[in-house]
Amino acid sequence: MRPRFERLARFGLCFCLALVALLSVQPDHASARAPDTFEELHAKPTVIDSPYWYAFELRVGPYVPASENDAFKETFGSDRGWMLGLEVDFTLWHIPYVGTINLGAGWGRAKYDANAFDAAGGRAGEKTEFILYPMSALGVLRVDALARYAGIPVLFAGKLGYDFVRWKADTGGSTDGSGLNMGLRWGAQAALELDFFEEDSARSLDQEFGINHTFLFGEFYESRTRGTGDRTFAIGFGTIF
Amino acid sequence: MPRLVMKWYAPLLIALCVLAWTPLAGAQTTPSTTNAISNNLAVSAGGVDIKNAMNVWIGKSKCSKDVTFKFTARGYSTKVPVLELWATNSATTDCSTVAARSSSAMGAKALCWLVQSASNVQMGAVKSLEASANRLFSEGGKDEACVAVTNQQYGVHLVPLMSATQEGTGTAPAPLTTQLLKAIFTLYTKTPKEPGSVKGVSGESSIGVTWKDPPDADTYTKYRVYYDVMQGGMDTGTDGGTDAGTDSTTDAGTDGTTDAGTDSTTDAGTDSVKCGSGMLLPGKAPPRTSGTIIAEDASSGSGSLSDLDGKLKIGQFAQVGVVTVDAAGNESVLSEVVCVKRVETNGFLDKYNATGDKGLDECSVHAPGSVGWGSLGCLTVLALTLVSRRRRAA
Repeated sequence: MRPRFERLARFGLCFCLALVALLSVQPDHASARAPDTFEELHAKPTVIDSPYWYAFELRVGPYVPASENDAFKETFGSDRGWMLGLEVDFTLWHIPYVGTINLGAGWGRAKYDANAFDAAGGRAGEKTEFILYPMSALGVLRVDALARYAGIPVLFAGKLGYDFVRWKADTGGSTDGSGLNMGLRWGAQAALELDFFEEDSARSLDQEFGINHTFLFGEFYESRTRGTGDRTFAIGFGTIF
Repeated sequence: MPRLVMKWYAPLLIALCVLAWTPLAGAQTTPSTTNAISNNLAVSAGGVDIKNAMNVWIGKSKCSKDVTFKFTARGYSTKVPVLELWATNSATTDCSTVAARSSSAMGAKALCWLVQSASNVQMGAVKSLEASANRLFSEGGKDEACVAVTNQQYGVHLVPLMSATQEGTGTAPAPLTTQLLKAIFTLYTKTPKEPGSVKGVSGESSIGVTWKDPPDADTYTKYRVYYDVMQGGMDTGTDGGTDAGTDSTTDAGTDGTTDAGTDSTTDAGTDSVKCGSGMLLPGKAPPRTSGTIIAEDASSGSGSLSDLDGKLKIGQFAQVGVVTVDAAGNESVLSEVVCVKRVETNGFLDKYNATGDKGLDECSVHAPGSVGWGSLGCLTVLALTLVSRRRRAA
């Protein structure tokens, strides 16, 4: 039985390799005529990309502020908020063969609620709420060299800036306190560019709507604002246009 | 490219901007009425002006022999020898016609009945005719006209005549003018079903209740929550939500006065103990007294009473009950009545500050309340500006 199994395994491996090889050498598009020169044969098809100056991101992720003490956990338990946010970037400089330097502005919102405590430490009927509106001013380095020049649809971004977190605490509908906390914000993002799924549609999106690229991303970031900050992650959808 | 981008993004961004500044308006259900009778007729019932006299919903509270309807006509261009007020139990019957006001030769009853009359109405004068609800909505003034009626329409007509109608003679004078002054009433006196599963919500800045909607949602349009602040029901002890036992004997704390008498069931945080010693009685109509009774309209499965200072002290109880209200203003009987206590509460900020951390105190600077959503609006404007600049540059 064993030699027979090995023969089958070897055949399967060879079949797969042959299939991959066959698919890899298949031309992308049928050509109306044979290429005339070596350069023409091996040249990458010219893709006319419209200029891009902006990026837009829509994101969602867990966010647990005030981790410096147990008050948040005692009040809101395992409420992770779901921070919803968006970011708009404006490109300042296209760095050849690297990416872009951008100036970004972000906005987000998260809300937490639970029953307030009564004098004895039990839970009362009325609610206590904590609402955050983080606003950020960011410098963003987007590295798209792999996607542009190596055909690997991966983007990276590093972000550094300042966070302004507007917060409000309510109990029973009346405001207990509010304010604006400030602090450093940084983030590291990896994104999968979606153009490769349907190249033609991606180009149509550019020509019709001016959207050069779309991507899904995951971002690890930290807002170092005392009382309202967290080190967490978000996932989202973005466009470059 | 930029021109097309503008088209694609602009509606989204503008919608976000509008959302940032526009509070959501609560939906409001009103009875289905059509506007405006003739300018020459004004109607009031029980001292309240009825604006939409073309189809007036009359609920149980207005359908009583004690409620007087007043019909005021004005602007006659000639002197009217006799002005008669006729009623009929149909929205389409025209009481100005001779046939509708006269019995037939065979002795059959007329379609309309005479309610009230006046004589010698002067040209241009304002003239009012009054009638109680039972006379208006039944021939002969029977009280049962108002009992559990659903969607019964009545027409009331002011008819100017040269001489008074002789009822039962088989004849009636023709009206002086074809300009008919009329009002249509729809009686709906069947009360809706009351809400169930009422639970009290204790708090410091507000107290309230939650409830489950009764079935047949189309038979009511809103809810009304009644609060009866129970005088002397102070509980200054520490009965703060952990009273899981049966507190049926003397409250051994610092209860200065009686503890509303009925704190005899589980007091598990929501203070939904039943109490029956106040003015609100379950299954009965809400009391019509003022003073300690506070009525607040609500449109969902919960209601609350805020601005408690001056109404309810910390540790004091209020009896709370809920009724449903239909389009005609009919109230159901009171739901299960619960006692809710105003308790001192600590929110998240109190808890945070109690740890001694200054993160939400000294580390914060003051910011106006509009900063949160306002910044989204600013970001939207910024994005639109940048895109439009790019469009011009392209």
